[in-house]
Amino acid sequence: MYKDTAEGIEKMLKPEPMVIIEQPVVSKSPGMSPGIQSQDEEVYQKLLKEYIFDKSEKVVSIILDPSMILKADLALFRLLSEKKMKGILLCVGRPAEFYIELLRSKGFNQDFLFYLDTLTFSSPRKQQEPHSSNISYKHVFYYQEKQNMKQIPHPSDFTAIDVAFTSTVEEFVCNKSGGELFLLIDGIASHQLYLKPSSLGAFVHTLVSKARNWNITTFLLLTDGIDPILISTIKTFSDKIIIL
Amino acid sequence: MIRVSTGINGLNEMIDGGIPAGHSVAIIGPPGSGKTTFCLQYIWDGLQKDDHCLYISLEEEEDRLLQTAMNYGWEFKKYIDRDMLSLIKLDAFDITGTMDRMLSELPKLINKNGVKRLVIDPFIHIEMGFADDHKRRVNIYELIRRLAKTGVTTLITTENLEGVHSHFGILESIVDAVFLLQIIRSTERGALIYAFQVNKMRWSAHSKDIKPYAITGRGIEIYRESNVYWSEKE
Ligand SMILES: Nc1ncnc2c1ncn2[C@@H]1O[C@H](COP(=O)(O)OP(=O)(O)O)[C@@H](O)[C@H]1O
Ligand SMILES: [Mg+2]
Repeated sequence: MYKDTAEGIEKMLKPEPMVIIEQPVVSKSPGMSPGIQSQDEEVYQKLLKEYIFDKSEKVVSIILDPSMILKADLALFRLLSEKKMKGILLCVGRPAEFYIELLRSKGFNQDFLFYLDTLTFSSPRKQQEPHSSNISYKHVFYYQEKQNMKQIPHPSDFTAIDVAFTSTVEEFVCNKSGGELFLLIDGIASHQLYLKPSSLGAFVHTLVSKARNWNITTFLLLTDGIDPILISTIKTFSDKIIIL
Repeated sequence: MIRVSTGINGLNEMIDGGIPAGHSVAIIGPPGSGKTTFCLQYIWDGLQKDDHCLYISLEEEEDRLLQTAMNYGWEFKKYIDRDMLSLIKLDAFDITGTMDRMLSELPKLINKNGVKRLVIDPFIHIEMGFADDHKRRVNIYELIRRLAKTGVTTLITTENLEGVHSHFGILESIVDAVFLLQIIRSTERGALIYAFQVNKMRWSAHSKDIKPYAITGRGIEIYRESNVYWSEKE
């Protein structure tokens, strides 16, 4: 699992795993305007109010403005890690490294997240990661495996996403039994670039149905850029719709 | 009814537990789709279950085939030494001689050695050798009929370049079952997706689904719980 070694972060983490800090980390976010932190808190509070964790609600759609996506992601991560849930983040909008960095800057213990990253495999690295010598890659036909993530060659490889998701869930169920699981898809809008809305709708529907069969709660972030018919279709198989 | 395990992860569940003993299966797929791998894995599975096996190779030489099997971690040599497995290379381009041997000697050999699992790979060279479709059909029909009489469970591979039919479209109408291996090029990027389907299987309530599969360092694996997606954008 990902180990955070940045100086100062350790101090900010509570000793208990999977719990995030209560104090805002203003000092660790250079360049951020002071208002951002309180906005984050606002979104989190709103989500907390709207989303009363209910085991029967397995598909949760969150409707929001595109500018709110990251805040919603963070609020969700906070909420879910507080609920001691473990989950899979399907990275289509932004690469896993982005989220790792973001969560690091916010002082999260990251053990609760596993990444299915569709954006890193075939893009050149800007620089070697300092700890990259410890990272072992395993090539598994449809994807490449690295500690806490599976890298899928391309966001349009829907078959590979399905295979990687299925094997990840099987591993979770086998190795890390206990605790609720979630799936968060970060970029249905970006996925539209590769599949026409009706096929994308079918893909999301089968993925979500599969998650449901395994008792996994799926969170879908629905923004303006998404085809309106696709949004209304997704709403029909959502158990809970939250408007942020 | 006795069913023979294929040795392929994920496949037995798609075909009611296995291939009905004594049946013949055509494996159709383009070059590189894993037909030879599939057959070697089927033989390896049989050897683990103490079945006598026979591999008729119409392309790769014996030692080359042993190396191919070793690539997947299957050491056939010791089974050959123990007379559990015979690898026989036949000349695919001597159509009369090879067809005669397959029609007359092969059933005798199967009966004599108590062969349970047979592979003929790749059959396409034989199919190519006939002067016309009628001769092709009559000979294939006769071969399959004689093999069925012995009770051996047979995999026969044949090639196509793409799509769901074999090159000549004859083998699949004669055999008891058809496994289709497709390499699909997704139009968006041209990346390859490998897709498996059971097109026909007598005596079986088989899966009709198309499923992704992979050729890995340990052979073929079918992802029965996943689906195949084409990323065509309008
Ligand atoms: N160790 C391996 N790991 C992954 N894939 C392999 C390995 N060895 C072979 N392959 C795949 O198997 C293919 C060849 O399979 P093969 O069974 O010979 O196909 P066919 O008989 O249909 O032509 C290669 O093109 C390659 O994609
Ligand atoms: Mg071959």
